[in-house]
Amino acid sequence: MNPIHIGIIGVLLLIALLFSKLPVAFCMALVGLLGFGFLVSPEAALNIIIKDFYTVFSSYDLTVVPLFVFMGQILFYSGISRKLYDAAFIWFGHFKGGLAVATIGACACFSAICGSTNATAATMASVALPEMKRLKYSDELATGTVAAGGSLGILIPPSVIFIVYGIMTEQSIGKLFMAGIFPGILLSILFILTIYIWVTLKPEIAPRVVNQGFKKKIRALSGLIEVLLLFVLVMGGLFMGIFTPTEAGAIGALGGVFIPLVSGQLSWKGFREALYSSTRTTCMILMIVAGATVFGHFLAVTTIPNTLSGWVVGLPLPPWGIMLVIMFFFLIGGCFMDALGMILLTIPIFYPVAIAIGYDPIWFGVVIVLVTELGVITPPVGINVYVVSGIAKDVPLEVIFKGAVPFVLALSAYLVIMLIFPQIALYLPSFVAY
Amino acid sequence: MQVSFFEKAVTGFSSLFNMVASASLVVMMLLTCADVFMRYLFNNPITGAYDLVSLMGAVLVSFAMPYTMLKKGHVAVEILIQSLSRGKQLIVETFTHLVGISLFLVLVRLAILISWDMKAAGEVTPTLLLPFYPILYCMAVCFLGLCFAILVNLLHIWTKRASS
Repeated sequence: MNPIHIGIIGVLLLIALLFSKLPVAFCMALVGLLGFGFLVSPEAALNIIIKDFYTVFSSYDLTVVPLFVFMGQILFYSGISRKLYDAAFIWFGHFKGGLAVATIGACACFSAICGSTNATAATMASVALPEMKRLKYSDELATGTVAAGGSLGILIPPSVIFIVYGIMTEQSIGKLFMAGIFPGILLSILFILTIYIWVTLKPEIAPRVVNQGFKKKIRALSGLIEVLLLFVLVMGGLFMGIFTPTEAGAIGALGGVFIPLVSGQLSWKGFREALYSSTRTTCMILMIVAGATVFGHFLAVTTIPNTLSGWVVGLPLPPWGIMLVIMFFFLIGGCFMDALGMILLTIPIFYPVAIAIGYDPIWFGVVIVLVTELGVITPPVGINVYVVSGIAKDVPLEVIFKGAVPFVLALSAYLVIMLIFPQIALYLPSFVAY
Repeated sequence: MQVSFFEKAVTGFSSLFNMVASASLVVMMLLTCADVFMRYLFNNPITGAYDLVSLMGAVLVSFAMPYTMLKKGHVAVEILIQSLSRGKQLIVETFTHLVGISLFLVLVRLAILISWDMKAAGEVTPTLLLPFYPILYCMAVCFLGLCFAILVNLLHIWTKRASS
């Protein structure tokens, strides 16, 4: 058996283990250890697994993860999400499907301080769903909107996926964050447009509410000031080269503690919960990164990444055709696997292909995030749908998936737009200092 | 009775470990901010902040492992398992938990061995020249804690099965 055959057996074993409910991180580490041990030597495999775990755990670059996670968590526990939603509700509530529009707006704002899709979905589900239920919005529209809006969490900076992608591919995290802003705003607008069309076709799913008046609207903006200030401080510092990503994360986290502390919105219990939740999330993410690093070493010795990327590049297709094949692969994979694990596993294979056929690495990062967003709202492993289902316990899972369909279509169309107009993602990063 | 004592003990030290992880997150945040302020306001950055933040990252993740496992914080694919009969689910889950324990027991041993190597080689951080090996010892302890946490989760599955 040549290394490629061993690699294929390893990948099949990994898939089998993944479906056995063994945590994704453990599966990758175990198969990586066994495969590397078989192909190189058991001693080398044992040596590499512990070194990989140690290197990942003590990586300075990766300390940006807990800091940005903590920033999002602390603001979540301080109730800032409620303020964001209220402001969006007062501004957009009277439009067609206004509450759903407000939910997307609040999701976009919350995404500017939170880098995870499920945290954004969970936060907005608990705030927006009761309100939409009270005003007799259909379950499909309400839950689908929250699940899709939550997916903005990884596109609008800060974003855990951008951080991990940046570290893996040695791209500037600042540039990746910047690249997410325009596409994030445009996607929010596209989601709003989707809601508008949906409600126009079926007005009964979203009864209209009254306009709140100009004074109230101006007052509601005060709810946005803290988030805006923090976003400008963190992202501004990062883009202008004043902070490194880790420093930006630390400043954001400290600001996240400071703002609710001053306004008396953060209790000791909330602070503790935010800390515990951050350590848990960080541990989960970095264990996956460590597992994927071990598996990546195994894949490298199988020569599968090189062979596969050579094969894909040699396909009789134009570059955009190859990119569509890659997107399709991510989409299918994303339906079955956790986003981060999927990205960590496939980046070593598809990143060289994307670069070889002439695509920009920053643009590719944005596309990966967009495809991941699709994965979190499509069955059977649409994590955001499960998160929303955990909060809207009276709504069947299939109703939420059905509610996400219009947004899946919108996102798919958006991917094609990104393919045609890569400048959407690349314009802002051209101004980043580093 | 024994299970409950074991579970209590594991839950207790996992929470304690997680407090260490949380404290290291807070210190990491404060140290990094202090470094930025000192650099821009006094042109005098904190020496070795990079070393300390890196080591604290290792402490954070390692000490959070048992707690994360007990809280079922790791991502796993459950679709196929859920479609199996309860008996088959029990067999598969027992297998996966034992696989997890075996993997991390290997890592306990490896972490101890490599910490001895690092101590012998005198490996230290680049700026403050802090030794690496104590972190590896901590990792070994935390991997062992993780094994206990996986065992508690397995015992839960079995006791739940027995009671139903």
